[in-house]
Amino acid sequence: MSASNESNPGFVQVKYNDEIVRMFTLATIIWAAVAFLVGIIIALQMAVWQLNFNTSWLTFGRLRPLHTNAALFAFAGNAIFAGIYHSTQRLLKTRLYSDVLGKLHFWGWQFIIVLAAVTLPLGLSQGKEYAELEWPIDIAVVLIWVVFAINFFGTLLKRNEKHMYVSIWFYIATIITVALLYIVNAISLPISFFKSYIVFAGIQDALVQWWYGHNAVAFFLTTPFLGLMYYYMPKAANRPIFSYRLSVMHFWSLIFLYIWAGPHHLLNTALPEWLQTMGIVFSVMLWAPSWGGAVNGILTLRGSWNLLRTDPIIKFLVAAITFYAMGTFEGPLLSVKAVNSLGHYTDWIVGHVHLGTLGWNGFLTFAMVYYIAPRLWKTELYSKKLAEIHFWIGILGILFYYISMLAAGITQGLMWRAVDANGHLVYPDFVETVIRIVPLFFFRAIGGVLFMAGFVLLLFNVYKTIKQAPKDLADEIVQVKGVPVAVNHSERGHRRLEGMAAAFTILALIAILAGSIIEVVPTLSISKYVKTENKVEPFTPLELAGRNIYIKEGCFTCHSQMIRTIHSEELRYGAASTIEESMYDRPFQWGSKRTGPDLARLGKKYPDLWHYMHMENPRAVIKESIMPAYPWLISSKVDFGNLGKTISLFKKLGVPYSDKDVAGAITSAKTQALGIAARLKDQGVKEDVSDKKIVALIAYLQALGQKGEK
Amino acid sequence: MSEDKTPLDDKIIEGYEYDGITELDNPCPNWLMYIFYFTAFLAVFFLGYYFGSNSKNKIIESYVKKLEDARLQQVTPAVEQVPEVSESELAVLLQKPAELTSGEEIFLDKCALCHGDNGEGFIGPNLIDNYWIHGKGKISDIAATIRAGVPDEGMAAWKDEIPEENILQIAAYIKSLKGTQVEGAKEPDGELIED
Repeated sequence: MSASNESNPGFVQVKYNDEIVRMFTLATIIWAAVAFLVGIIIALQMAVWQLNFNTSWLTFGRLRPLHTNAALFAFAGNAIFAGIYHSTQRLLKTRLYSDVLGKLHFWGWQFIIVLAAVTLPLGLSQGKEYAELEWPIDIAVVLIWVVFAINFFGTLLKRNEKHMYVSIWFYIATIITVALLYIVNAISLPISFFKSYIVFAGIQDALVQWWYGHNAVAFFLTTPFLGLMYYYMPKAANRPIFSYRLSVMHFWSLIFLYIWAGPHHLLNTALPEWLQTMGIVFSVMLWAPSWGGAVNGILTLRGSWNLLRTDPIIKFLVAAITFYAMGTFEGPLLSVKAVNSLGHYTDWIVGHVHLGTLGWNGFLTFAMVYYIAPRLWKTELYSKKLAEIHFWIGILGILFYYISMLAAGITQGLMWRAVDANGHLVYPDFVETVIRIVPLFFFRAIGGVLFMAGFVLLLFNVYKTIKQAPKDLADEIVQVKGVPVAVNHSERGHRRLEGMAAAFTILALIAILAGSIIEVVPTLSISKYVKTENKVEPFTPLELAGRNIYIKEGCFTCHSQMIRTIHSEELRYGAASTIEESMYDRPFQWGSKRTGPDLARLGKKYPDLWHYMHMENPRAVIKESIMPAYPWLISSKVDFGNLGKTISLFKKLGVPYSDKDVAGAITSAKTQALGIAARLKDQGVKEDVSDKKIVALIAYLQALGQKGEK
Repeated sequence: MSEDKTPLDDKIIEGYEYDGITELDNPCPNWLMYIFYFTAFLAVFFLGYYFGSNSKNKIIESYVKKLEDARLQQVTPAVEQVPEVSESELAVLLQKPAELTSGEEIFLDKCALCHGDNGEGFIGPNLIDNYWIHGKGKISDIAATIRAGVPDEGMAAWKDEIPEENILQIAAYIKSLKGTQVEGAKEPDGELIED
């Protein structure tokens, strides 16, 4: 949209596309409301189990993925797009490459979010955290991301500013890395429109998943937001960036080091030792590069500290950066094996994550919205006072949230590992350790409500601001000097690179590929790590049907299947899990949180009837349990239709099934189901449940830990 | 940019400005660089420690060692060496109300879910008649079943969760239930043992 300007030779007139920024900004706050609300609901469900309402699509296991996906892709995603489109056009002094692609990007992304919001409560899930969406939606995500990438790089190529500012570096790293992570972690083979299986199994899947999961934090919640911080902080404070050299140093070290740190999510597990070691050392080394961004942001305020008193936007920015600094110190700390052995699987991790999402992503986004709203709606912010109140209520909410979860996590972690002088667990009943922290679940929910209350003030403030906006919202027009984007050979080093978009992108790609390749590729040949003499039986067809129910209900959101190499875990759950035991698991279900006990060796611990009663009403067998009831598993029929296809697919992927297993899958499932139903009948279950979901689930639960060599 | 507020040592880099944003020519703060060098040193040291030794898998080795240490530190001997106590010695427990009450409390907490609040049986068999599936119904037999469980039939092994002293109390309590009549009790199962 640039045309040469006759009255001012050598200058071109550029009209920014502000419409797309306004659209993404509105989407951000609408979806934020949804993400926060679902967060409060599931927080309350943990405090009061009755709030699961005995209803499948309202149960924690299905709503938790909805919450995480909404926070990640809907709230943070739209915020990133709004900020990137707003700042990139201005930093590159050019209009968005394509308005049409922008619209496609916007509506495509909102459509994906709606699909996610419908399919996740229905239990259509791949059973991998933050990657639950089924394959057709995965494809849509990738396509829309490509649209975004084309639009961004197109804008980059037609820029009127020769050098790329540090924000742009972070956006480039974000776009290429998220694409790589998302695609690799979603490689699955469909057996129907709604069901697919990941190609990676067991340890491979664990590694790829946390390479993805950890770097979703790095390249979806960190690098794009650092880019936004580098734009909005100096703009809002009207101050120069503290140190250009620090920008260069911490950008490259951050993106290079981050990608290696994934295995710290799998410490003390069956993951090969060298990978755990890599995960630890790279996480520890991330401390300084992460703080580099925080330091550069905070010190940009030098000389203008008074703004911290008077400007709510600066308040939000400084608090966001402070939370970022806290989180990026806590992260390396939690990556130390000894600390991790205490904190992993507990609410401490949940607290850690929310320090980042509520504090860093939330507050930075709020600052951005308060910055964008009056400028793009060409008016004043309706009320600075309300923004101030929002800030303080929000801070209070985050502190409530974080402190209660930190206390809950450490309390429970210590209870899990407490062993008395006789070598017995002090708290052998898992439920004891849960009951102890339930009061803290209430405090956490209060934190969530406070955070939401502050956000409602933002909604109101933005609504009123838009209400008072003029009718005509013309795009902003600037006169810019058209600078030829040619290499300047007199420049040296990084400055020269900043003028070369393609070379910069390739270097960034190399930086993030290094760790990815070195860590992930060797494990793709699983045989290296699996002892072939340890024979493991694959699951029977009925057990696989049960496993699908386990995944559909989101059991993995509260139960792990990985007994760590820790003494107290052996006492509580049995021998440490081995790589072999999950070698055929697609997806792996090692889990990341234990609201309930580990299930890796659950099989044969209780009779079938125990499981039947437990699923119908957990309180019938464990009086103080906070687990939701699953009555629909007893009343609804199990679907055996795809079992043949599933077994056949697994066979192709190397699971030792025979052709007979494939052909007889459904018959075998039915026979095994009749056996379990008959046993249940013997033990007193009145109705015939041989074709119900519960039978398949019981078969699976009874098989856990029973497939390895005795 | 309001130059007057810029601290004296700050120098703006000339010729580079992005939408009004300029950058200062400050170096990376030393203390931050020291943190980085420190963590890098730790990393190298740690990598050397893990990859430089002959040990194949330190995690498993240290895990096994920790398990052994823990066993050595146990004050009471492991279950495999539970001292043989004669049935007549155990029968003394039946005369001690305090022991039986303690046994009953633990029974209600851990056992009643499957065996009923009064031992009438539910998921598991009843414990009040003369029929026994495992053992001959002696206190020592019951205690042995509690310790080791019957994994194939869904009875958990309790030796790691319930101290030996309490296991004997529960076994005595169960023995004391013999012959009680409970409405709706589960039908007899196992072998008839005549005293």
